[in-house]
Amino acid sequence: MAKIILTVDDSASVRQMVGFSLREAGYETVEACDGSDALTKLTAQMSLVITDLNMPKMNGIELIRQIRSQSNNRYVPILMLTTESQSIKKQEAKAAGATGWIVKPFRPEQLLAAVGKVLG
Amino acid sequence: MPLTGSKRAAQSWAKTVEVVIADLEHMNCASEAGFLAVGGELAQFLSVSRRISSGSGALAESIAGEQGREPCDALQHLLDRLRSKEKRIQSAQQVPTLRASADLLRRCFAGFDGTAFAFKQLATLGGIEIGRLDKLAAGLSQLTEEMRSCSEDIRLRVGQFLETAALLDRRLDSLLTGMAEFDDRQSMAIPPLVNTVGASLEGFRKRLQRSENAARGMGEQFTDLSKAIRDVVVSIQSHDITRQQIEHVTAALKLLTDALNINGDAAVDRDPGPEEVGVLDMQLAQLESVARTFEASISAIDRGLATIAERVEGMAAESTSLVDRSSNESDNFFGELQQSFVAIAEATEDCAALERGAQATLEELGSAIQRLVEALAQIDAVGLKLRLLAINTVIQSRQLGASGEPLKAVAGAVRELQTNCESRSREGSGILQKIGTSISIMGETDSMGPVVQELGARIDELRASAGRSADTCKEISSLATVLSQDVRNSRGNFSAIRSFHETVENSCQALRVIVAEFRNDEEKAGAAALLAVHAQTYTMQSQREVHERVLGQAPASEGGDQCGEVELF
Repeated sequence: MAKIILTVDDSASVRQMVGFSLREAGYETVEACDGSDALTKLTAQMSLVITDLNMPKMNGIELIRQIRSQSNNRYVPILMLTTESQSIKKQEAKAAGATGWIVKPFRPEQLLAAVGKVLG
Repeated sequence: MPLTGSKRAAQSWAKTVEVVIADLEHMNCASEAGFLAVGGELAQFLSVSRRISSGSGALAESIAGEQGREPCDALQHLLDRLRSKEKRIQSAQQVPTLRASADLLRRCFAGFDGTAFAFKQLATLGGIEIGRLDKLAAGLSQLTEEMRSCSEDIRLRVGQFLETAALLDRRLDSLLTGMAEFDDRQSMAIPPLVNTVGASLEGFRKRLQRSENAARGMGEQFTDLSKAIRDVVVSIQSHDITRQQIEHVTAALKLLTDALNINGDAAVDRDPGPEEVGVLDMQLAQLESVARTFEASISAIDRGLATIAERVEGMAAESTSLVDRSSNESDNFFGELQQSFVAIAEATEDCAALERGAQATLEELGSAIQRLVEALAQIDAVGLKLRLLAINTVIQSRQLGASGEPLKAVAGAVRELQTNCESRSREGSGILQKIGTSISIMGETDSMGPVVQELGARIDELRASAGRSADTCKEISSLATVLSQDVRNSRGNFSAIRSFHETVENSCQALRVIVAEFRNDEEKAGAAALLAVHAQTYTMQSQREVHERVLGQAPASEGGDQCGEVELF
């Protein structure tokens, strides 16, 4: 059974590219356009969350904090996918509970390698 | 109330900024739709090209794989059989052996005619002598009768034997002629067949090689295509960063105009202050960066689509070429195979007919030999009887004294003749046995009919499979052609997005005019200080950094790596 990955980004193009890359590799994807949307769509069946950092309504760091506070999903791996490369932001994400950090633009094989490692 | 110059200017710059915002928002929205359309088609391109690639692989497999190798192996098997037969014919010794045996048998039986005559003569002489002595010794008349009967019997047996021997001789002649003709024909027919089948096999192997190469070529095209698609995925992300940058510019400009509107008409009466000019200047710088990046990302996507179109066209051309070449080669190849098979079938049928004739002759020879063996056994039996009779006669003649001497001489001659007959019979039996062995060896027919039939069936299957493969090839070719047209259309639609570059340039120009008109050099220092604050509020410096990195490096398709880092915590 294919693993389900929640991709969160306010950009439809990025969601499309992430979804395209993941589906090509055999994963199922669910899309959310920001942190709030992601919280309504996240279920226990999801194996991984890939989220942008800067988003309207709720940003990526806040989304991680919210997910980590949920008993059901507190251990789900979360990868940040962002244009930010500042170490302060990275540290903030790590402290909030992010599993990894991928800087945009990514090559599909980079993304898949990271996803593969995280999902074991 | 008429507007003053300053008010006109203020209203004019505010309106200009609003127009810039509207243009940029429209452009962002429209280009986003264009990029999403391209992104959506990428999945389709990859899926269809994967089908083309796997179809080509299956096609090559059907030609070069198990299905193709079976007839190839069968052809090789046939070739081995033909070569082995050719060698056997070259070293065949059965015919000369049989011919020598037939000569020996002929010589052995040559004296049998005289033997029968001698027996008859001796029986007559014995009869006369016994008749003469009959008056002297009682019971001799019975011996005379037995002698006459035995003589008649042996004459009859020898007659039958000779008839059978003549028949055997004729049959042997016929068999020898047939076998010689069979060998001659096979000697003539098999070397060209070996050459024909060898050439077919060679052609078949070349065809397999070409199919494998074509499949490999398709695989390479698909690998290049997949890479081009991945490059476009990266370029679309780069564009998305540009789009976000424009969003931030429009957000900053909106804040500026919203502030003017909040303050009412009075606010627009004035010229833009240093802070506002600073904001405009900074957004101008952002837009100038966007203009360069926009061009770079569009060019990268355009190049990526061109590469995809090129690869897909390459795959379509490869498929078309495979169809044409496959059709032409199939026609030639199966034409040659057909000719080979007609030749093999004719030669096989020819040989089989000769073999059937030889087989019939062999059967007749077998029964003739059987009859001869029986006749020899009968002659042996009569000969034994004659010998006993001769012994009896010798005993009788001894009793008769000197008057019995003639009869004793006749008995001795009979005895000698019988011994000679027995010896020849034994010799004849030995030769017949040898002939029988030679005939049974020759009778082991090496018919290739079943092999040829089996191979024919496999070739028929292959031909049908080649037909199906050609259909698949045509399907792949038309699929690839449609796909390459789709890519070209996408590229054409996408190229229309280039017109948005003009929008960015126009917006930059509009902002440049305002900034140039209202910037006060004395206020520059104050504006610069404000820029740092606005940079935090209105811009995404990291996006700009990414753009600088993208612009400063070669496109991914040219070997550069514009992608960011991955770090797992």
